Amino acid sequence: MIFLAEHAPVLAIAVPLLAAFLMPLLGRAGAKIRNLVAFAAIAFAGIEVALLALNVLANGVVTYAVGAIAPGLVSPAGFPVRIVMEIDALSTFMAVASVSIALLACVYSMQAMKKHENLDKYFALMLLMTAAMLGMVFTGDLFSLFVFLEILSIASAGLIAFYSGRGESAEAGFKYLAVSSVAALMVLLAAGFLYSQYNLLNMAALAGAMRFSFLDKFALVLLASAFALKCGAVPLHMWVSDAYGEAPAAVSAMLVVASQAGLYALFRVGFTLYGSMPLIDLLGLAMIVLGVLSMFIGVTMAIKQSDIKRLMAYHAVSQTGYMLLGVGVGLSVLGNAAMVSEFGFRAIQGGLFHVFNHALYKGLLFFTAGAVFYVAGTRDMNKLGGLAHKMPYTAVFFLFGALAIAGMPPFNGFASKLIIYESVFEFSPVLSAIAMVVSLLTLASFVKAFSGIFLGPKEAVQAGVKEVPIGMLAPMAILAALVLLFGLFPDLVLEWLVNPAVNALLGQCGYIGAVV
Amino acid sequence: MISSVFIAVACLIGLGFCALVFKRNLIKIAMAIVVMGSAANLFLVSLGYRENAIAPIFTSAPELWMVLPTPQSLTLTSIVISLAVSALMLSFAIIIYRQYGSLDSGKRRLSE
Amino acid sequence: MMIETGAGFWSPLAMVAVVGAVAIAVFIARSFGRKNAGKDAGQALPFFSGNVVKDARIRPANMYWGFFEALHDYYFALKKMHSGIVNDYFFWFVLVIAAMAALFIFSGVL
Repeated sequence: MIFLAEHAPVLAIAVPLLAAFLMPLLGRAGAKIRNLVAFAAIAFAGIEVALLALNVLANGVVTYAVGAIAPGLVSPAGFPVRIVMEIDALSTFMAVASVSIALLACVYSMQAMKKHENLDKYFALMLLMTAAMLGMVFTGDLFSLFVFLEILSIASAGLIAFYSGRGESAEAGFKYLAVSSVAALMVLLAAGFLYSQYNLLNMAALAGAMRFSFLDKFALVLLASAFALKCGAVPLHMWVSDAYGEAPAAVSAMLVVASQAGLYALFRVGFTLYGSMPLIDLLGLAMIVLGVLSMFIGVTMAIKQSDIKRLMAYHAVSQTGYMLLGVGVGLSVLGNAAMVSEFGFRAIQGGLFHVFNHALYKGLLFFTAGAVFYVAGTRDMNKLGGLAHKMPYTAVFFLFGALAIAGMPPFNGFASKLIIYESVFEFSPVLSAIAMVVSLLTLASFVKAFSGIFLGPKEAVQAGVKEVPIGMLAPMAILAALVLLFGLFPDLVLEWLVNPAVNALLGQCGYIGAVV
Repeated sequence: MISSVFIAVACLIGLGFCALVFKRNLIKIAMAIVVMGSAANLFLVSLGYRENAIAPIFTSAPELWMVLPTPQSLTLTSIVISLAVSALMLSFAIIIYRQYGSLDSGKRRLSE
Repeated sequence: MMIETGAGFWSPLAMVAVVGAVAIAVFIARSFGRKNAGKDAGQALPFFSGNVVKDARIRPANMYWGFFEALHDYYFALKKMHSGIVNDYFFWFVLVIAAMAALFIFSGVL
């Protein structure tokens, strides 16, 4: 037990990684064993993440030197050597969201993908995605951030193009991989720029040694643009609709949390790496502009779509805009202690809470879209109708997800959006008004989607439609229950997950002090 | 004065971006990404260079003035990643050619 | 229980309690009316212009027609932006890098 808790950072990444490479071997022994091992690997990673989260809540920043005799030997001679993993409350916040969605996506895929071939490769790639997401949020090193980012991109591209009999899936995978690898190259160049000046790759040591020269600021421009592309901010969002739309449903849910890992990297660079730069509020301004553009363009494109998964993909872009707006407002006032305590803290709190809620309700929505596709064989809303007669549970879960994303009380979307509205209002009322209009348009587009797919006369349903099996209903039910639970008791998430994460973002010194 | 290696890296990255924005063939897009990856590798290796230094191998080293080994390990990792990305992108291009009959990026079906 | 937003507070349980109380009041008011009013009187049948049409519904593509007509120019520009061609994706990426670098330069930072 002590072994599990002490080596939690590395075990959480290594066990899914090992299981990923065992998938083809286990596939020979049968589908049941392979599925069981995949589920067990992600569940084990979940246990490690939970132990690590408790450790971080109790003891502050946790560091781990990979490959040393003892994990605590991070700076034996006063400066960090080896690859150091540095886990603070923001890392565990993202890890908890990622591993929960990964576990539910694994359970969902076991039923939804039963009729397909090549499932060994599917589960291997899904485990690689989980390991890469956890690696990205746990690492304290800029170059290993690049490596895990590339692993995530490659595994996701393979999963997006999984239905390889269709040209559209391969086209979506090609576009996703092309833009992701160029973005990762920009991250590599920025790491090279920073390494060339300071001979350091460790993010905490870099933050302490940073002198903000011309090359450093150019590196910030490259890093910010690359991570803005990875999280799907407008005008770098066009890959999102292709990728999320063509991927299998469980993969779309995991892509949501993968994009949020890119958002984590953006926050890490902005707040921790460059947090003490004079005029860092320019990056905050850029995030606010990207956020407002994403919100508005995302929702206006979404309301026009006829394909249910492309509609949800554009809504993912729009909701990412809310997160960027909230945290951008917080970053803009970072230097001003009075404003931070007035509304900056709450803006970042709202943005991060929205990250968590979005993972939950967007996962739920993609699972229901996958259920509709599993039963009806089409994603076009114009050809569907009246499905609530035959699929009542799926309809109710879709309704929960739709009301949550539109920000209706008492679901969890309302809680985080309320915090964003009220704190952004104190920064600038116009932004808050735009956010509310976007929320209205979100509701309108989901009314269109719900009535188009589920409502309507019984005669409009195709033949042979019946409710999806329990293997797909169970993850949806769990997510719907969580959406309602965190809407009724939002202070649970706020107190234990979000507030420590906000304090970790605002407290750059704790992050630096743990290593240097 | 900026070393000629860095000017070469900047030119290669610029050429890569030009090809990505203007060339329509999917294979040329994949090639451009590989060229940009090679430029980044060149940049990383050249960061560790020291004048009149030998390779960073301790065994039987004639002197201890060595090139930095860390950028070399970063470059090895980056080469492997670039290999995986190019392999996957080219296989996607093959599937697209088989299904669409053309390698033109303008003949896309996912739009709007 | 309750979260404190900067300008006030939000208590979801209070809202559920109020909604529940109103729902009970509505239910009590309904129970004073006629039992089984209007069952099987054709309330669930879809009608178009007074005729029963068995499988009629408004297709999702036709909803919000007025909204799309009013914003026709905006959607025209938006459709041109979302061409789906990979090269345009990279064009926007270069543009964002250039715009961010220009933002940092013209404010005297770089």
